[in-house]
Amino acid sequence: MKRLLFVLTLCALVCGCATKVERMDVNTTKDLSGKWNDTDSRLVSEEMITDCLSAPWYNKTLLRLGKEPVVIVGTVENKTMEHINTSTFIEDMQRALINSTKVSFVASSAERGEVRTERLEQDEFASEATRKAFGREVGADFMLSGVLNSILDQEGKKNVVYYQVNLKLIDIETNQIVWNGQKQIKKYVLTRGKNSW
Amino acid sequence: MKKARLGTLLVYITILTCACGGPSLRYKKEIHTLLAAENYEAAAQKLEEDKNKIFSEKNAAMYYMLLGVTEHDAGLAERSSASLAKAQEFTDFYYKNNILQSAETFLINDEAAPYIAPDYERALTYYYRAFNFLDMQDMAGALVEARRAVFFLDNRRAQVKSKYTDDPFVQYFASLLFESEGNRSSARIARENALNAYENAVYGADTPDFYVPQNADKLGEIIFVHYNGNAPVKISKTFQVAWGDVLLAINETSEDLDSSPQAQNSVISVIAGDSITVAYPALQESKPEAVSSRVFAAGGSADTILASNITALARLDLEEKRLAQQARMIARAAVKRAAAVTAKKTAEQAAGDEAWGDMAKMLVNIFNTATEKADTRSVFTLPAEIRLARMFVEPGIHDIVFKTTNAAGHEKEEKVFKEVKINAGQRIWLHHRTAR
Repeated sequence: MKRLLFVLTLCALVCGCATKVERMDVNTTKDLSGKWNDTDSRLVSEEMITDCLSAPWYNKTLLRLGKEPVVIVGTVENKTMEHINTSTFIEDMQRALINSTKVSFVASSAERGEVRTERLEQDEFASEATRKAFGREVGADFMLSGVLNSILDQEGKKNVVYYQVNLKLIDIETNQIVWNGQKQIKKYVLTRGKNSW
Repeated sequence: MKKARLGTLLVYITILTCACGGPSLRYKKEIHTLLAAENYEAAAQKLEEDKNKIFSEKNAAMYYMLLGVTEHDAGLAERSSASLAKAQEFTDFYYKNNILQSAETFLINDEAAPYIAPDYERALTYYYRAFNFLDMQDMAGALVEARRAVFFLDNRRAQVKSKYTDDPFVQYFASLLFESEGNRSSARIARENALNAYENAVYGADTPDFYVPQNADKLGEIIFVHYNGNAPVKISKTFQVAWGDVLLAINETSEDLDSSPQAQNSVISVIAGDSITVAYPALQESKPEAVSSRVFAAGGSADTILASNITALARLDLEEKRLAQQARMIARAAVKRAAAVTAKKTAEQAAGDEAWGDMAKMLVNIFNTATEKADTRSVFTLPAEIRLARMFVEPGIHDIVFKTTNAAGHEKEEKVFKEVKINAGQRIWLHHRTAR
């Protein structure tokens, strides 16, 4: 009996020290530090794009152009007090826009540069039949850009973080702002633990 | 009753023997020697190798700050930023959980408590991280740290009563970053805070008054930061007090390279007999070799100014903490005295012999004095001072030359930043450390 107890204790000790990993559903909400995370990014982008595409500018543009508007995502500035990778937020917005099937979407300026280099190389190395021509790119009608702001209120271990995401859709030809959306998130965070050193 | 007393005594002795302090003076000097040789990478490597040997988790904030600053000087921006992020995390944790007044500080010494960085060190973590992001060409990241710095300074100003009401240099640096972002409002507020703070003599720094030409937008700007010398190190000083009707100081010792204060105290406790040792921290300052520095580029030059006097900040911090330290020191002396008396009585009762009581008391006295050490922890890899120059140059490719001068007026060190491209309206951020 004593030996069994000893073995069990030993096992518990060994297991207790091991790193534990488990796969999670990407849609699962799991807040650890209280900072801006993947759930915030996904929820904000989905809600804001839905709001954007249901706003009056869409039907007006559809009537004016006679086709789906072409949109490009510009920059989203991080003006918060956290190091937020805004590119994941931009990607989430792109995905929400494309999945809506209500707009056409063109590549960002960085992606376009890469595609243009590829076309240049095709011009030299690809066969006549498969070579892609220059000057056939689709120009965007609208640019979506925005700012991520935050206000932090802190007292000891208690923190209230307020995020405000402002997105604007700008008519590239006229510089008119055709839609201005805003989404807020407020979190109460009680900090307790620390990471291992 | 007898068993309980004996148990308390054993627990006390166990705590004492398990106590673990910060790095020794010898270790600090070893790191300073590597820094003086401008071997920053080797200093960072040594700190990493000694992580578990010299430091412990309660000193995590200090360890990561020491490492982060050294990595910054070595030009390892990404690693430095990661280290300083950990330093900020541990500092925040221990600060918010307010563990400073733990019982161990009354039983053992002040180093038994986790390291809580003084506010000027905390403010500098934001500055160093911001500069690391600039080194990585990540202005957005630098701006996050500038916002955090300003938030931290504003919050502490409202909550903490101290002569260190603000950090003029960190505010000034933040204002430069906000300016670069085009955020005039935040830049103006941070600049005003900086200039107001610079007026305060406690910081011992020069108020920046850089010349900005009318056509500044058509020129490029060099912002040069010179980290000069080494921040003062804290040493432990002790004195023995005889117990009687009044506390009477009978001997004084100071930490040096060849003997630890604990070893000196242990010897004294045997000699002095019925006395208690108490320790307090003092600063050991070393004047930087360079008394001025200058930046040369595109046929012009600019002097650096003393933007942050870290030695003065360390002095101020020590001065402000002295009262609380003295209170703990007196309380600790009383607790240690009580432990020695308890040990004597317990041993006498157990053995029925006064000689055993005296022996037990002496042993507890040796333990007590051996663990009595002042809190000598600090981020000793920081420079003694941070100097700053701003210089406008014609756009183009320039060699930027940095020179230091000693007290005798001789040029001591030269560093050339080769072929730096500066565009119109662009700011170039450079830093260099001289640690002699």
